[in-house]
Amino acid sequence: MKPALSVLILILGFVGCSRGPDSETAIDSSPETPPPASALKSVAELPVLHGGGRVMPLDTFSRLVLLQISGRRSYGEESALEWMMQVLMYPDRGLDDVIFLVEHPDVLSDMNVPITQEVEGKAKPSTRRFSYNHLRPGLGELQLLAGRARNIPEDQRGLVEKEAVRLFENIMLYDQFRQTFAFTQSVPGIEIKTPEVREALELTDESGPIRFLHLREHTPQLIHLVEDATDSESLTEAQTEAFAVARLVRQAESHWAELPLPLLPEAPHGTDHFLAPYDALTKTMQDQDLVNAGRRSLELFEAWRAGNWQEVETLAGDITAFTRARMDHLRETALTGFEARFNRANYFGRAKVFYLFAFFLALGSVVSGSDLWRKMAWVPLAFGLLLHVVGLGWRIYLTARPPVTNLYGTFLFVSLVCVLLAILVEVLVKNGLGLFVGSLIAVMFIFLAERYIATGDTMGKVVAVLASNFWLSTHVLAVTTGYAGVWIAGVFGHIWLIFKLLGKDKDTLKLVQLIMEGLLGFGLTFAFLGTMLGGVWADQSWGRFWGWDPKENGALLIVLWTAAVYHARVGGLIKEKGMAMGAVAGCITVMVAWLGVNLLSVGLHSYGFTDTMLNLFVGYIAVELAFMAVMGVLLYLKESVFLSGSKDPLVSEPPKPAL
Amino acid sequence: MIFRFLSSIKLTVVCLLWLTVLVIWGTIYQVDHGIYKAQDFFFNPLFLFKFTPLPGGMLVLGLLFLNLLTSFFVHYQAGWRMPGLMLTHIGLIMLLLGGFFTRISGIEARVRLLEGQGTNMAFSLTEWEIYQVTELTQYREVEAAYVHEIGKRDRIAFEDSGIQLTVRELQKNATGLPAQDQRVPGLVSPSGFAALQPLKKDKEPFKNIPGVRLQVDGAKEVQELLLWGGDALPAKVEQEDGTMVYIGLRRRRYEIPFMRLLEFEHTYYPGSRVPKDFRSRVELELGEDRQRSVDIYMNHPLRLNGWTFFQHSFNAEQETEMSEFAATRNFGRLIPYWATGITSLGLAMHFLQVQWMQLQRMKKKEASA
Repeated sequence: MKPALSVLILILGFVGCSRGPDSETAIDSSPETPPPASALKSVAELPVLHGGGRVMPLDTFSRLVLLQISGRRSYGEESALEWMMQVLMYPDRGLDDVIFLVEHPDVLSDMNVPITQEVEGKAKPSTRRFSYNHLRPGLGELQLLAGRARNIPEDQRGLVEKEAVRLFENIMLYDQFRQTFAFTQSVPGIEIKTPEVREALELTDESGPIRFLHLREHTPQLIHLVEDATDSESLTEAQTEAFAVARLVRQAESHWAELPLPLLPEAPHGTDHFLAPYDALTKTMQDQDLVNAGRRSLELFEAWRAGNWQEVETLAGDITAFTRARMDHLRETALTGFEARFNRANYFGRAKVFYLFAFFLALGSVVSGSDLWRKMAWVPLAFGLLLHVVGLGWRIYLTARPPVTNLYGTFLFVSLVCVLLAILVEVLVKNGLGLFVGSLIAVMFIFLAERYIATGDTMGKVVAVLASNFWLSTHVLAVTTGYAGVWIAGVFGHIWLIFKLLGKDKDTLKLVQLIMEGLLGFGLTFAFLGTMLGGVWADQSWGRFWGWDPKENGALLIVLWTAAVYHARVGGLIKEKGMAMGAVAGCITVMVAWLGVNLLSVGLHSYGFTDTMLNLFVGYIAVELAFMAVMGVLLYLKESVFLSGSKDPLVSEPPKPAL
Repeated sequence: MIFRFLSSIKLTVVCLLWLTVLVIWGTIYQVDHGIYKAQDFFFNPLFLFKFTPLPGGMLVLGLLFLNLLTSFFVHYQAGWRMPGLMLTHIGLIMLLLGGFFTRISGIEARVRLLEGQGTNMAFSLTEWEIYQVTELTQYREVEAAYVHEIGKRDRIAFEDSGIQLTVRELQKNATGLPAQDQRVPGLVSPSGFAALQPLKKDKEPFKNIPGVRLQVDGAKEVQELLLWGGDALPAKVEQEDGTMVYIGLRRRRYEIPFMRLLEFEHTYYPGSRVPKDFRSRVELELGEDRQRSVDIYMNHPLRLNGWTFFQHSFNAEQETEMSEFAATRNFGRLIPYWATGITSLGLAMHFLQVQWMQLQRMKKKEASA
């Protein structure tokens, strides 16, 4: 075969080798040994620039990528970081991993791909996740679908069109990660025959397989070989081969430029632009520090594949130090180690487990009236609270902001305030109800926070207007404290209604009512303060106190409703039951203000709302309304004249008061 | 009787509940119709949609104000025993008054400057004026009539000229129709229009461009003017005595302290299009040879001579960067601040007091039992 032809055939073969699993590649030939925890820790801290404008540890970055692709924070037993390292280091090993989340099955039908997938020999008809290899036959169709969908304005796209675009982008992203280090590999089957080209490329008989990077670095010499060529007819054999190799380099380069792992800062204290390893090695050859850092990343890749973990740790440390030195003006660059540790510690997940223990113990105490159970419930609650506070403290330290900058933060903060209020109640009345309510709300809201994580970076950068302002900080803290107060009062409203139905004694009901009214007053005070501080912030930031923005209206709704309930009670328009119902409805107003207004997608505060959250929101409102209706009917029946004087049919035997 | 009705707690509850309904309805309405229409139809008028018999936000808030005020005389003779409640209601009265004061006297305008450019004028986003100048120089005397204050067949007379204008047609949002073949005799339009074509009002009021057709008395040859908000220049009108005046339609202007944009800077977070900071360095002229340079940036407005200037937006895509400031003037600005503090303090005092009294009562009951 002519040398030029053999090189030309390689062009497509080589660039394609990293794209498909069926090509024979040299990239997956090394044996793998499982990385020790110390090696994983060292790479976990590598600073990477995320598209949201934040430098974060590779650990967080991997979680976000896996969340985007799979909707999960880990893949089976593998952490997101382990999964990412496999994608980077052994790009062809995870092609059967079922990681691609497909939320709309019609996309699969349009791709002519089966909607069931065999995993380990078993068809999984209900799965929503599929492997790269399963989707691969339909990629051409998917590309067409996504291309057509992109021509439609985003707000006019249907569900299938949105899903086609999302899935295609995720597959492309995954593919790009797989190619991050592909350029370091030998070009399979390449053979340089002409002595002139071999000399230009500094190849000897002892040279092993030819690596792409070697070709890339010797491109100037190849160009020198063809400088005097005038037309294609008069090319010598060497020139033809040199042209073919140069073309191979150029084509592959266009494929590998700007891959999505921005690991190395392009300039010290400069443009804040980060480069992927390939770009660091090839873009600005005159910046020797950058090239050296690029080489370090290359050596890291090789050391990982060779299982040389000691060297992996050294190299990861070198790269981290390089980035921190260049980006010492970005605070978060220095904190990637802390953030990786924060991720590993999983404070809120562990707090949730403790709260769950506390909940069951407190439930037991409330039902049985056992004081021992009540005292035991304090222990897990205290541990949960400790982890909760420490976790929030970490977030404040890492972001250098108040704990409430997005919905995720509000779930964590509101649950903390609820727990603190519940503890206050417990300290005052000592009947287990405070522990029960506090732990229940904490579990619920931490669960919601975990669902919210799927929307992206929970410590993301905020836009300039939200960046720094005393009034904004006080506004969000006060208004979310108000949410907590009204919400927990509503939970006591539920308890009052249930106790009433169960025929609890008057004193117990009076005590619950007192707690409920006190918490509602607390909630009203902070909801009012927070709402008005929002006005002060708006006045300070853009010159108007009140604009009837949906979020302002939502907060106002809580204030109006709670004030109406109070006045109705004071004016004798409602009694204890009406007050409890009003407090329960207060929970709905909180949810409308907190989550509901984000559904409207208008105004300044419409941040992050997902379909999952939408379903939870609608479901919650329906359940709450149903509860109120059912309780209203049952209590009416219980109190109606037809039953007066007779034994209560709803409760065969009034339970022994636990309070 | 009226006094008792106005001070009744039932009225408070009804007003609060109706306001709750308005807030929910008006918020949902915003999704399709925008925030300004929602304000116009639900929160600012006395009656819903300006004409239905259902009370609008202004009426309900007015009733609540009267309710708060009158309840002082009826319910709080022994107010010193409930100081929290007194403070809360005083704060709320201040809040409603502050809101009303802002509504009738506050000004919201914009200043738009290219780098190097200076101005002493801010313009309104929603209000327009018909203006007249006698010369087209940089510094000139301007007379203006505000479009929102005039109606069809109203007459406008400018003092500096003998010209009298009578409104023949007024469109709140319109475009111009060009003359088909030749000029309409006696009609002058700076943009060469022959008529106005009304357009549906946009949900963003600042996108509405009005047009007006005026009958002209006291001018040579010109019998009618057709002015449109998008005209680049005013119409040139020769008076009967031979002198020229220039009449145009533009966004309403407000005089502000002179400022010049020296430099505009904007930064994004690394590798993203998330705005991190944008700021303008402006030079202020405070009098003869008295100048001062200040930075205006997000959350750091400039307050000067009753005006407040906020960094609002920018356009950095052209060769010369443009910065836009929101300019507001509101002499009652601090009333809501005080009201917020007083009401919150009152609420906290009241609920603590009530809870304390309840607990004491329960303890007494337990002790006696």
